[in-house]
Amino acid sequence: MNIEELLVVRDLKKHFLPKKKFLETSSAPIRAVDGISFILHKGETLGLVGESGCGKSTVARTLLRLIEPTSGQVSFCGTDLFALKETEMRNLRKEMQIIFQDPYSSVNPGRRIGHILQEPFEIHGFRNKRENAEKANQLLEQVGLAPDYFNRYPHELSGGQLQRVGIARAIALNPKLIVADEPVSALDVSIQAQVINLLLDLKDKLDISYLFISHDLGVVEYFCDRVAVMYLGKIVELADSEQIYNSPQHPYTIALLNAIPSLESGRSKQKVSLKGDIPNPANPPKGCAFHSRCPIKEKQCEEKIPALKEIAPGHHVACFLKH
Amino acid sequence: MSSPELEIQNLTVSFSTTKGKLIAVNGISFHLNPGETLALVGESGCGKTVSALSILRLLPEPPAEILSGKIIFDGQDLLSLRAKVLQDLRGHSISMIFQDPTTSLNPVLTVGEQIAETLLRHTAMNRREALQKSADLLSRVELPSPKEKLQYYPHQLSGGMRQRVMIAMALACSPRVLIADEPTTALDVLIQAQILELLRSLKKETSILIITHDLGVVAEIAQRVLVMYAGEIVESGPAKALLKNPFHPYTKGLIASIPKLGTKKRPGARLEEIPGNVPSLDQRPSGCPFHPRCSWAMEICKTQNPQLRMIEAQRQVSCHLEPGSL
Repeated sequence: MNIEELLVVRDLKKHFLPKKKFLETSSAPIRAVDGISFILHKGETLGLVGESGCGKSTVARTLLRLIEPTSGQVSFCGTDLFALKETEMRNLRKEMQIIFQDPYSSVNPGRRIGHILQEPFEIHGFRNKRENAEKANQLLEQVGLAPDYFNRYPHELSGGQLQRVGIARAIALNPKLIVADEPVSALDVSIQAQVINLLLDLKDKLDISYLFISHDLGVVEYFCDRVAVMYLGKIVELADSEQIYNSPQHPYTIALLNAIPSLESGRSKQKVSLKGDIPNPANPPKGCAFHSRCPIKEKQCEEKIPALKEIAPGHHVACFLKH
Repeated sequence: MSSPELEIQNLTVSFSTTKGKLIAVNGISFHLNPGETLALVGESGCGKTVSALSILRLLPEPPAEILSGKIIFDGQDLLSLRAKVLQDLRGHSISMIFQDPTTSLNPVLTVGEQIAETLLRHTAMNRREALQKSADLLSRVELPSPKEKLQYYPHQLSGGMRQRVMIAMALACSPRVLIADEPTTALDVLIQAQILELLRSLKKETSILIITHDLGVVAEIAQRVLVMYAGEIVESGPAKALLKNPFHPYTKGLIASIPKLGTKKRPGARLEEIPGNVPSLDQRPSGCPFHPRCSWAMEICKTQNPQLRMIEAQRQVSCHLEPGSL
């Protein structure tokens, strides 16, 4: 089977330079994304998981060029995104959309829902007002909102309903790729399931591929075909969802899976909770960035950086002890 | 059986808004036993935080107003106490930790000063003793190099460390009751696991009322659970039994809608969901507040709000259905 590559990311880096302090000659850059590579196939859902500060949202924004990358290459359907001019990029954004975590801060509070949903069409040159309104109505229906929401304002909607508006806006222009940045984290449990189901339905109906960013491993397992685990700006493990959850290899992945509170209390999991916090990305530990918290580290981990290597078909791990 | 550490009787809290007086907590009663960890679970807006804040009278009144109820602690009703007396209780016999450690700490005072403040207010310690004790508390909550950390300002600490400082402050006077309002919600899973472990280790020292929306957290830490919906307790019972075999359709739906780790999905499988939305306070449905979202709803549910009734030992549910018929 030949699966089409939709998005190819090669050695993507995004370093932020902190503001120079008085009399300081130079300050260390914050390596938010520090050389990550992956491929997203057509029709696939790839999960990007990690703790806050690991750079997962920066990946999302850099991919869509909402912020400019430091270096690296991203090609979307064969087009090199970073070589495009601003206007060309804007045209291509039709094909790649984003859903944000907080639905309230991602819509204009002074505009009615109907207007918010017509905006993508207006921006991309559809001038027929009546047609646009009609399309906005169809979008409402597609995401399971009643037609009378058309004239309401964002504050009149609950978080779950407003996230549906965010999703409707993202699918308006029939994108090939949707980057979903923690789309259900701000929602209540009973609403999370509704929104996840909606995203799954749309995937089948509209043939969308997702890059799904989340810190919730339970949701990711449910939703994603493949999973990439990030730590301090790097991918430490990348594999099929099944491999990640059934035979995690990287000690960080294992710790993450162990830390999830389980509904069955007293299940037989060994409690090896990691000590300490995620290190400062401006001053990451030498060698493998995880060695400062790793329960199985060796001498070489403090000196050399492990590469992401394939240890089984489709299963990539960046850890010396698993190579 | 020993008498409960804290007892809440028929608590009703309302808020005055432009839409009139809205009931946020509707006549709830529960108790916290000595040495127990009790979880109050529910989605946003169900009244769990309002209930917790009422215990120490921390709600701004107005707009909030406690319409009825008693909160019995140490043989007296906290709601009838004068502000001054209540002040002596807060942080001393009953203390609280909040969801967001960043906004709960004073950004311009060092960690040491903030912990010592509690001790200076409630004990006869002098400043030096209070700072020494603060360092002990920081090592109790497993903050590395506690002596140094006393000099730190909150912004120099990570979220997990700040929450440890909050817990150290709450523990300063060895309170009999610790109220923890979503203590791990703002934290990453790995840090959450650490904080839960810390809270678990406190069980011997204090009774804990933990407020959370996360049933996983409940399973990890609580002995008993109260499930709230639209300002009412809809189900209560021992954590293990309740999570394994919920009686109320809402509890059942809540448990089912969580993607569980290790349950291999079938391709194209959907998550079970609870239809509809959490009702807002001004649109409280008639009868059982859950009936518009309940797939078992009967005629009677539309008009009559079921009472919380005992089903089996320690298990209560407010539902018209026969227990076990889900």
